[in-house]
Amino acid sequence: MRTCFYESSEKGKTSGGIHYLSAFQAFEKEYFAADPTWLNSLRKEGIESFRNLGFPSLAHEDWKYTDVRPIAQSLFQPVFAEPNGAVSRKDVESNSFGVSQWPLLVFVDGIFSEKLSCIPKKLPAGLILCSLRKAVREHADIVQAYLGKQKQYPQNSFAALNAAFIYDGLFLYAKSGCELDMPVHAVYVSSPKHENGLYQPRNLIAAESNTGIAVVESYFSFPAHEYFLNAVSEISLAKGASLEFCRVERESEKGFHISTTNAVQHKDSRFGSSVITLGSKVSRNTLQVFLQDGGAECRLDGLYVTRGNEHVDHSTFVKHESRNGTSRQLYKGILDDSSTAVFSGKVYVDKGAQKTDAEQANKNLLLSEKATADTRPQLEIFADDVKCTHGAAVGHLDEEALFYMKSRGIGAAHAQKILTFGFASEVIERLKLKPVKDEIDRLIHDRLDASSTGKM
Amino acid sequence: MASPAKKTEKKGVESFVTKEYQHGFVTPIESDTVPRGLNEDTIRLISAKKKEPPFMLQWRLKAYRRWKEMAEPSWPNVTYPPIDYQDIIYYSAPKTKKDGPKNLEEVDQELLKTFEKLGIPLEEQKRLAGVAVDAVFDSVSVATTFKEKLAEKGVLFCSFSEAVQNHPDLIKQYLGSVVPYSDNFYAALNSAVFSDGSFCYIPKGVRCPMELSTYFRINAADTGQFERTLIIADEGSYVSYLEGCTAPMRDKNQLHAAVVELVALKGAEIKYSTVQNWYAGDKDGKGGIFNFVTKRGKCVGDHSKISWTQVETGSAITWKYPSVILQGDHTIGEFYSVALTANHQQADTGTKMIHIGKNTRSTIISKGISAGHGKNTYRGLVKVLPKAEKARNYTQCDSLLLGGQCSANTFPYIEVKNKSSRVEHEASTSKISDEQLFYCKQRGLSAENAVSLIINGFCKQVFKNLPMEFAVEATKLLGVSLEGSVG
Repeated sequence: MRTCFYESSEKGKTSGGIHYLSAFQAFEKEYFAADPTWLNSLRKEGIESFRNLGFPSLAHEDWKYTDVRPIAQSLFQPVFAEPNGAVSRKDVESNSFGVSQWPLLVFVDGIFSEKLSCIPKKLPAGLILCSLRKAVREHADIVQAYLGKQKQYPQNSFAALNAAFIYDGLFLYAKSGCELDMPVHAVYVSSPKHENGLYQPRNLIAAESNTGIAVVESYFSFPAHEYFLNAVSEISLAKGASLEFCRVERESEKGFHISTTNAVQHKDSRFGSSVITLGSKVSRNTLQVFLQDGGAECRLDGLYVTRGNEHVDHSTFVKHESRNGTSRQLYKGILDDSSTAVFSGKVYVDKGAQKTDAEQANKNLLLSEKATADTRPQLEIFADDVKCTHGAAVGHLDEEALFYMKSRGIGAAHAQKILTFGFASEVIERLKLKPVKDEIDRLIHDRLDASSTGKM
Repeated sequence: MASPAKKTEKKGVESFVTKEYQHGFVTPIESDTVPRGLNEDTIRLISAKKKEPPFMLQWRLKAYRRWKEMAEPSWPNVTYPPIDYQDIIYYSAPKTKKDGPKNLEEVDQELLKTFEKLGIPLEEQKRLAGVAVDAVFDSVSVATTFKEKLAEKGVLFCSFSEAVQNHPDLIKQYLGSVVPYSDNFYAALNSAVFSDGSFCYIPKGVRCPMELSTYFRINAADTGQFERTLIIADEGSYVSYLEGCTAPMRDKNQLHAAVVELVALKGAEIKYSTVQNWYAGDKDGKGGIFNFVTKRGKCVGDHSKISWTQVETGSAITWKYPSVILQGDHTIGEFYSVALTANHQQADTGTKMIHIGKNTRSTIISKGISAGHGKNTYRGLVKVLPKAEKARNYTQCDSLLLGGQCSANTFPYIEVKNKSSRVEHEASTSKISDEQLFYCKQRGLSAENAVSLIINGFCKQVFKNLPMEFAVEATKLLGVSLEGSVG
């Protein structure tokens, strides 16, 4: 038995990924000439730090419970062109929460699809919504001001890999005082066209002071092919800005999904995030929020429902850097079959961040004998006048509640379903966007129906 | 708002932060030491000096060879200058008369005086106190009391060296069975060079008639002390073991890497309590003890129980995770801890509860108090293995911050691989609330008294698990911290 809980990160490397260096050379040859120098140097920095970092191994503290060797040892190839006719409008519609009027941007294998997208001609003045590729050409100064400016993840080799191949993604910019009354919907489809494709959307959301926007990112894929999606979203919220951010992940059981979301919050800004994870072979969501100026508020919710051999890893990092910040985190998981789930959350309160109010909770429900939950809620506090709590729980359904329901004539399977749904609904209820909420509600019900038949 | 009140509160805290170490004195005794540095010859020399049987020497050498390949852990949340392991004297025995003392009168008077200063009930007080003391002075046990009374019950309580001579079978069977020599860097080092320690065996069905107690004291300058304690509770037995530590004031950091192994067989119960008050360095963070300890218990048999209670107020750096391996079915593990860091003290402490058997239960209550530039970290692991059906864990760790320069961290690890188990973790970090202080003050308590009252209340859950004498000492230790305000 090891007494060491973990080893230092220097040792935490796993072999693999060398072919990305040659892929980068090909990428450089083909695309660098047409792109601005600052973008090229961002990419070069990215590949340099990826070269140094390599892929993390289990000895790396941040990756203790998630084995990325299957990713590191496969030869995934970066993709820079939209595959023709692989995805139809109908496929997208069936994943659009039953809403057609939201501005829609579709990315097939990480590349913007003009055909499938639908960006309204008339957007509020001061709002820019387009693909990153287009923004680099038409709004270079804004992109340059925000892209790659958040370098708080020196240890994240996946973010570095994404930076090396920055090519396309969502671009949303709101000028001061601008408000959008409906969410922007970004859909990321993994098509069956590429075998072993590496899709790396790079999303940039920048909101100037006193703005109000909402973004829904949804990820889905066609079944039965192996791919690796490595997304990075950068979010910048200026004074008084407010963003409602929702991410729904329905990847295929052969898909690897790694995402890094970084948000920097300025004075009195609000950031609400909901991450719903409903499938993938291995998924890892890193969410980092920096409450840079006083009075900023963030709410991070998460719901993960796993089955089969799925592995879901959520890693959150909330850094309170200034006074009067508030953060709320609630992550809940329902684990079935042989699936595994990981939650590592850290709340960091810096020296000057007095009157911080931070809460963090992670709860896991194990439905099967073979499911595993690993949870690490962490607090690091350097200020004295704060209120910080965290809690974690792993358990099974309450026997007495089940008995009570059975005594009222509800069958065991149904009772289990009701209780499980009740467990999930705490997070579902907190979803701010009604169509998303209804859809998740339905998806969870479907999932529970599927799992409770033939059981108990 | 209430600025004058704040000031007095600050004063209370300040006196607590800047209080001087009370047990700082050096007893000038001739020491029998080996040259500085560590190699296989040093180990052979230690083993030969202690007249150990060959199996012990082999075990030490295996540990040393393993240690050479290991790297010093860098993951604890503590910072300290690199330790030169070749600049340490690995063995020092207080010089006594050639044949060793036969009774207390023959014991070096200087030693006895030291013990008296520490308040150890060795002489006349021993009967009154009702405590059998196996006093470990530096590295060799000098006097052991109450042997007869314990012998009546068949309890073996002696120094580790004696046990190696007289009960080699037990040592052979249990040494390293809970903490193997390859466990970690410091445990390997300890296994290679340990000088002495305590050994305790409680036979079947015996309830140990008194609380067993050892006082460790690091004395000769620059001698890292490597203690090894082994407690075996045979079927259906019970023992309560107390460990108290103080060390004289010194400028150069001293390394202390002890190993404690507890073995609880079927139906046995071991209660292990520690009050650790080693020199923590002065208020600028100079000097102080490095306390890198491996403590672990194993509930081998069904229905056994191991309970750790610790009050950690001393040491410059504490690195300590008293753990329980719940191997048997229906076994219980407990961990109660108060860790206080003031000045420049650093503590990275917590526990590990490994649930292997069915219906195993564990409770973790950890209270951390940080003041001055103190750095307090709780690090704990609760692991439920697939076969540990209906395992139950409850963890609560609270941190209290006094002043704006200190920090408190909580790093729990929870790994559950069994559906029917239930694991809960709760933690909070806060300062003493203005409302609580105001309430106490409007009832006529001074600010200092109020702070002290609140801190004692904060720690009560842990203190109530300490044996009586220790509870008093622990309360006093915290009280002294708030000197001038609390009696």
